[in-house]
Amino acid sequence: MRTLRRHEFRAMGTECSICVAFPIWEAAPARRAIEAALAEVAAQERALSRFDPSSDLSALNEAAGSWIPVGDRLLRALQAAVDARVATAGRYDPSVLPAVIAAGYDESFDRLRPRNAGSIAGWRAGAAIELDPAAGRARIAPGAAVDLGGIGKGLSATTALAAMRSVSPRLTGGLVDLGGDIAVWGSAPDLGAWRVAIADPRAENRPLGVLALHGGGVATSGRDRRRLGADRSGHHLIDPSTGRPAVPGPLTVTVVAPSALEAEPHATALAITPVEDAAAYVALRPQLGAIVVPQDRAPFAIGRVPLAESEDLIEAVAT
Amino acid sequence: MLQRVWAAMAALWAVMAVFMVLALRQAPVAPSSTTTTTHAVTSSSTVATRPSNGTSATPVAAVTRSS
Repeated sequence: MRTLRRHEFRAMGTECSICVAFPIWEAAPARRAIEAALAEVAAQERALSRFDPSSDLSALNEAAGSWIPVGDRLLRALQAAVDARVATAGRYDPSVLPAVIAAGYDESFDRLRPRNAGSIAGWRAGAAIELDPAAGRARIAPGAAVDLGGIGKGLSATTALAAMRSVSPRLTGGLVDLGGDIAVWGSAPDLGAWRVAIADPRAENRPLGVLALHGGGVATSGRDRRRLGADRSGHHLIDPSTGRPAVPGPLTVTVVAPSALEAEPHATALAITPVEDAAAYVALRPQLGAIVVPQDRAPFAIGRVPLAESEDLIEAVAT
Repeated sequence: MLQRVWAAMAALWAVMAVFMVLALRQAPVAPSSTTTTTHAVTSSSTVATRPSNGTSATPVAAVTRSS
């Protein structure tokens, strides 16, 4: 007989949860697994938050232009962000922070006050991020600033799940959900797949469909929440090619990938990609699957999407 | 014959005692500002955790949405 323990908490400015499936005689290891995941999420947030002036990331941004010592967590996150910038052909860019702030996202969203967009004069995408892992230091270009939104939750969900597995490898399975960026491992208590619903941004009271996952990660990005500007008409998805909130792109996009770390930046990239180009984007990256919810027509799925239920809300998978 | 019956009953009680000890070991996660719930499931059931954002017939473990 197996059972499920679920722990809900708040971190990284959003609602989070951890699920562990385990045989009933493994209760103590399951408890240790949840504690390890919680500690990992907290440590990641301390290192990677741009809203915490004492974080490693804040120190790096403050010292733009100079090499400074940074911890392993920030080094790993920066390397992942640089890799993701390449993997998304620049549609995800960790150096968009000045443009994000100019768009009005200058505080934790809980504390954000509406205001008009600011200037991005002189800002350019693709700022240099240099890493020296052997010496434990990093440097960003003078005047640049880094934001790890768009990869931080996916990375943290992935490392939290790894922490769970590391301390308790004999569990049946686990799931870490950080505000909708989700890492999955193994099986649910019934030894079936973990079932993850995809929220429908057009109707709060029903899911678009349900994914069945034994591993990997899921992330959703979109312009349906986190509205910015004096009249809340803007959004936080910056197009690195313009420095302004993206005009083309779907309402939301959900990406299924081999890991949450990989899913999140691709979701960010697809969220600023014209809907008609989404299939070509996924075709070049066959490890991905995506569910796209356009602003003006029916949702559709592309590539590998393990849907257990779609309730006829998602059109036939495009190839 | 009677000895065998007594031996079988003793073995049964021993197994039950082991399960009781195991059940008592299931303590909640260290105190925090959040809540933890445990759901027992049978081998044929689906994961019963929370409703899938509304009206889906089958419960899900999590919901992915933009945040």
